[in-house]
Amino acid sequence: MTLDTRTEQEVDPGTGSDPSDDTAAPEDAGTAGAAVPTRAQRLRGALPWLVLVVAVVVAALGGRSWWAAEHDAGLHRAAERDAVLVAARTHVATLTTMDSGDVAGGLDAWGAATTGMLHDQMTGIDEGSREMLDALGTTSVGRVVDAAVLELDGATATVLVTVEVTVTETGEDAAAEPTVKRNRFAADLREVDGTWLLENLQQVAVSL
Amino acid sequence: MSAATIGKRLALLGPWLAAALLVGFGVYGFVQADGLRSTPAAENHALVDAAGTAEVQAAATQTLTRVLSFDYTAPEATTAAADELLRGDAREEFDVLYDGLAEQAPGQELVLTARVSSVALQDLTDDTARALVFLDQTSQRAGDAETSVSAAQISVALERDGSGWTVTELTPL
Repeated sequence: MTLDTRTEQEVDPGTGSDPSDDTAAPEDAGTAGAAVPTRAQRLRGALPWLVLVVAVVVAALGGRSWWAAEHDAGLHRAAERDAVLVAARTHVATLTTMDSGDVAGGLDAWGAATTGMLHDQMTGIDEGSREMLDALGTTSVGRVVDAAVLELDGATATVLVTVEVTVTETGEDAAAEPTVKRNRFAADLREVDGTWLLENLQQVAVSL
Repeated sequence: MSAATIGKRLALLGPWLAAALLVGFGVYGFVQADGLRSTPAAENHALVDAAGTAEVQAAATQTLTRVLSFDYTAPEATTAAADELLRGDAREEFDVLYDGLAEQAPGQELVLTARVSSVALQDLTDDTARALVFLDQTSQRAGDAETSVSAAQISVALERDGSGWTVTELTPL
């Protein structure tokens, strides 16, 4: 802005009256007839365009860097890995938790956390089994101690999960001490409509 | 100031304005890119760097297999492995485990065999890594008719040591 006015001011006295305005701006366009622009004037006239070229380069580089980061396969995979881990921790805790006082609610949660065959099993539990869960009189609470993604391949993943399950008697043996078990699981997850759900949950047995 | 003058001034201003907008966009692009690349997820190369991940998995497997196996006829093999492969807190944790073991071992004719079931990486940077290890340990004693097996889950921290990785933390879960 200040540079612009200075350019005009310095040119004005040189050429005098009205036509000066014509020579002031389009020096570099080559229309200046009366006064041949000096080297310094030509440079001053070209300056905005040089700056513009540099600006275009900066914009192009910045834009390219942004685009590259947005489409970086590694960054995408890193984000997926973390999303899988969060989902696995949540869903495995859900599937190792059951309140005998609210079997219907527990089964709904199991259904919401699963997909595929496991989902069919969870939602297909018949009335007899529900009553059995009801009658158990125990409440299990699963807490994920540690978890890590073992494999990640597109829309499927395998996560290792260590779970501490606390079983509390809520029925006749309510006074009994809760029992605490450590379990280790391999959880298979599948991405369904942008959400990672449990497809399989297996205890990792010891192998001889 | 005539309309023509104003027009000319705007014409002069044009390139500068365009330049300012372009530079603004470029800088914004760089800031966005940097933001995307410096999130905690982006700085963790576990599973993203396949070769690095495999390297740490192999190091953790080898270290735990050797350090958690024990034969009463050759106890020095275990301690030598610990000297070679463990540092810091992991070494202290090992000493606690081992002291208890070494006392009973000769009388019991104890043989422990560790087998790593799987290693999953939680975190991997250039110099540090953390993994969750599922491990099976079979133990055989003189009086036992058969071996017994136990399942273990161990959280392991590793640090880069030259070209390889050393276990610096060993936490049974």
